[in-house]
Amino acid sequence: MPTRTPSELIKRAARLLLFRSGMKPGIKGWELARSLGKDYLQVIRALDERLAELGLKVVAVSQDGEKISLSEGKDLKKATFLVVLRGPVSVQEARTSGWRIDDLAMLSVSLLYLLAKNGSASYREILDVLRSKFKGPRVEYVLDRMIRMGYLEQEDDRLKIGWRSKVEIDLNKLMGDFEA
Amino acid sequence: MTDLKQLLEELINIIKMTSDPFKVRVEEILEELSSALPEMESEDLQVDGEIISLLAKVVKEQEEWVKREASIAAIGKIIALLKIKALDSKELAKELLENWNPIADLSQVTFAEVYLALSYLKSKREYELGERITQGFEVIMPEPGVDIKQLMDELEEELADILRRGKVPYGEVIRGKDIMDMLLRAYALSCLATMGKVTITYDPLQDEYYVERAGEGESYSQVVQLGRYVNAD
Repeated sequence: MPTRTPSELIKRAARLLLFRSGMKPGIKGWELARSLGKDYLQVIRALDERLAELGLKVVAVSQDGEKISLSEGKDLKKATFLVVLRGPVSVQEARTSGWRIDDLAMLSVSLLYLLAKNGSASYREILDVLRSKFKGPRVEYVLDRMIRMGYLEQEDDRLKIGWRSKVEIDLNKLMGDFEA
Repeated sequence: MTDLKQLLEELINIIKMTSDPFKVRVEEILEELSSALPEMESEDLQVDGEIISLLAKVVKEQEEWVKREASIAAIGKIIALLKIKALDSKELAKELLENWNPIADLSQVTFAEVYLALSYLKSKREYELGERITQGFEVIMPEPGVDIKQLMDELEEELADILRRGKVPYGEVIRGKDIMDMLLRAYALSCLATMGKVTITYDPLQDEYYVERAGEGESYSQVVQLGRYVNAD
């Protein structure tokens, strides 16, 4: 019979996961273990069940941004734990949280282009693709904003898919779900 | 002996220029390094280390590339490019939203951040805590019945005579019997400037604004902070 997780621990886990303490959201597995004890994964799974009622879920990602299942018996101390929205987002919800349709479309184009180019392209190339699709002076501003927010990653003059995109977006499905 | 610095430069350039990690000739470079190793001096070893570190990154990229290629059929890339070409903004945004699970987190402010914000606000004169906040910055509403059009006509007539003699300091033009009168004259003057009947210029050397007769050329917007004139009175 599975043991019942004390609600005090679940509350503590929720606070640890939801309140941002550093520049990036999320908390490392070892930090959770330090605060919640060696059975921290069990607490996280119990929290995940509670969050499901609110349309949220807990995800664990590796340092490369790959999602790791919470049920696996792996050592997740190096993984980063985050809370994400469980279902897809509506246009209205995105607008309410400050996103413009054009900005979302620009992020979509940038990611699709990077996926088509094996995950990396020059800044200029992406800017040209965006300018061919969107008019107006906001293009460069939005591209820089996506880099600042972590959706894209800049290394010298090259752009890659950023950590936030790997965590938040199902890139395979965005591309068309052509899994082998 | 192989020029290691040249080899390092060549390697950096190839990595920068291409998105295909297989364009880097990893095996050949490793062979070159291996044959050069017995003759290497201590300063060469540092460059040698840098080259090997870069090659390790390239090999990792090659590994990721193969993994991606294996899991995603090439047709996916064509579909991705087709989506960019064929879909409009709304459809592209929808594609993203359907596959998007944004992170939910609560930002919090630390004491250090509050202190930083206060220090910043303190450096701004308008927000300085203390007596200045009450000097001349309170909201003053015009009394009902003020006829701005009439005021503009009067000011235009007044200026027509004065400006014939040359430019006049802005402060002198807007000077009135009280703050309210001054603000109304400043407003009327800004309307006249917008209509192209007078020109407001700024002399950066004297840090002074002037009112002149309407000039030729391109018009531009000019911001005048009235606070300096309010305090001067």
